[in-house]
Amino acid sequence: MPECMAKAERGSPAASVRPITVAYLRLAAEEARGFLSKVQYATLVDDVKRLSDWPNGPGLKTLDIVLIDDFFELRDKGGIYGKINVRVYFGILKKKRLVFILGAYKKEPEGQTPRYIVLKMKNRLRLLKAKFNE
Amino acid sequence: MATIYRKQPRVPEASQQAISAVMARIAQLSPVEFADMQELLDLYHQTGSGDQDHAGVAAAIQELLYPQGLTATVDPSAVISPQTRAKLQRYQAQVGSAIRQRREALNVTQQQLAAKAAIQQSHLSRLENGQHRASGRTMYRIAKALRINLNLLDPGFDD
Repeated sequence: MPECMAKAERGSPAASVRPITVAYLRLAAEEARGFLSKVQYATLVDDVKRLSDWPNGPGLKTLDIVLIDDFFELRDKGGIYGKINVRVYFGILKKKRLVFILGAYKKEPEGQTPRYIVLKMKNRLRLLKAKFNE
Repeated sequence: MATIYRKQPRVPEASQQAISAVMARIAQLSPVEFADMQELLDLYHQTGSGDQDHAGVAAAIQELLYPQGLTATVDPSAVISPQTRAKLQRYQAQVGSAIRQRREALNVTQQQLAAKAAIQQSHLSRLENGQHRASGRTMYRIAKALRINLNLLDPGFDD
């Protein structure tokens, strides 16, 4: 299990009891559809569904996930995405057992995620946590 | 000698109201939100109007101030048509077939290839059968283990 996932899961002994649900912001789906073709979008949806295996199920083993601030980034490029460098951001609402998809972004150059994207996703997660009393 | 008074431009009432509304909204921000807003404003000034991040920063500012629509959820599968699904499956089947052909040409078992590429044999099996799609990172590992250019397995890659 990647270190970032272990870090996120620490201190939640009941984590394996209830299944994880993957929930989506409508905005995130719209963002992804804005830069992906239909087939690419279908591919991304399949990948994102595998997050229901959080934190250490088999579906996650081949996903490239890194921790950014208090949320996560799923990365992929090449193959069916061609030259598109796809980034999907998600947060974990532990009490509700939710993996919440916060947004999607087409990364242009190599390097770090732009700071304004980080701030935007932080804000979305903050609002969701407030809504779900997390 | 006559004094010439320059007429000050008058701020339209609608603009005044808009500015007041934004200021009132900023006053409602929590300390954390306010700190993020300050950082975004700095980024806005640092990026020029020709910079592609400029519009992104502006959108982030707007969203921080007026976060409507953030709580709506949607099932993303609902917009995927059967035709799109079939196209994706054809693509996966082609990639899977290319992996299998290369593996068999090298006389390597699935078990051996999976071990070399550091993936599970069950995952490799599903890839070869077109049931799964490998991430870019996994495809690089498989191509390396098969000693072949990645774009010969999947034309969506550059090398």
